[in-house]
Amino acid sequence: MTAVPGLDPDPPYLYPDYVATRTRAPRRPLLPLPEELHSLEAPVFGEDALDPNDADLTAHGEGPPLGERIIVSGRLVDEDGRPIPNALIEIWQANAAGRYRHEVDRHPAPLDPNFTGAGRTLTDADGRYRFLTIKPGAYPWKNHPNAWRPAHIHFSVFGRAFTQRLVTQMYFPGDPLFPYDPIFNSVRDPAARELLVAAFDLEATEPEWALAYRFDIVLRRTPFEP
Amino acid sequence: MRTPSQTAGPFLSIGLARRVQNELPGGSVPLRGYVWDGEGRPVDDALVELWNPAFGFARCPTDAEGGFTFLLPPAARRFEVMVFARGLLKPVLTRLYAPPGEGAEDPTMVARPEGDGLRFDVHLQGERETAFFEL
Repeated sequence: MTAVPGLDPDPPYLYPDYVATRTRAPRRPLLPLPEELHSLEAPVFGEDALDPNDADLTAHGEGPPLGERIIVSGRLVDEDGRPIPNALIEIWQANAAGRYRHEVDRHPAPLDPNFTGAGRTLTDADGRYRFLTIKPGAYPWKNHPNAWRPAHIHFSVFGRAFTQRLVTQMYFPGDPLFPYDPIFNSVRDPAARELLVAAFDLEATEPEWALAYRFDIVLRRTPFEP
Repeated sequence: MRTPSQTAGPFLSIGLARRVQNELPGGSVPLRGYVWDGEGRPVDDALVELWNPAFGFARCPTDAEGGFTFLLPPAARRFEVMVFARGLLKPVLTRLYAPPGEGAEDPTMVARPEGDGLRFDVHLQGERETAFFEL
């Protein structure tokens, strides 16, 4: 079923530099995927999965959140270039100071009362999506001494087929933390890593309002298409 | 080339568990389970997703004890299961079979009766490691 020869773009389960994989990566040999799963469709979500302003993360508080307002948009396609319409995309991220609105996040950076950091949208008929948000900050974590995550936005996507389910992270171009981040570098193929990095998108920028980044997402090929 | 997977990280509940979605339509059978790591510690930052096109989609984040709950329709015999968590660079994929688990690919995929419902644990690693499929 592999459409692209060469290195698997996905990271391995066990990548010891990312310490948490050492006790969470499966070690037993994996079983072959049951044949019927190749043709299993993904769950379908409708507008009822969305709340008002779900695609505008700057509109979830009493006022605008602090930070650099950005547009993040792109296209969801499969490996054959087919657009994937009506697909649910969910994102979550830290605020501009690098702090998540989550009880487990102990980073001593300020929370922003006007920023929840969560968004959702459905792709349009052409597979396109668009979020308005603020640029997340980098933040420290305890993986190794002086470990910092490059700024990123988490993405979760349901495709048309069950096997197309993807949870990933979008990074920003030119981040100086890339060489030091074991999560980014767990993707062994440099060309695949590039697909995790959004492109600055001058055309999508709104003058006097917000800069823009483009993040196209490519899912496995749609198994029930010829 | 396709976009690579990355871990959902420790804060996945912000984005993926805003709405509680762990009751399937017609659900009446409580399912309780836990996610464990290779050292037998509960995984308190995982998300468990169930899918069967005939019965629907459900998801539940794990609590401080690594526990999750679902309400399943009694007629459902099998669900596809995906688990996401910090430390999983890509999801693990397994199946949940209602007992007796006819056709199960591996005994670790079969839930067992417990109280008035079912019990189904996911061991990511270790001696009791759950059998996972290759995606």
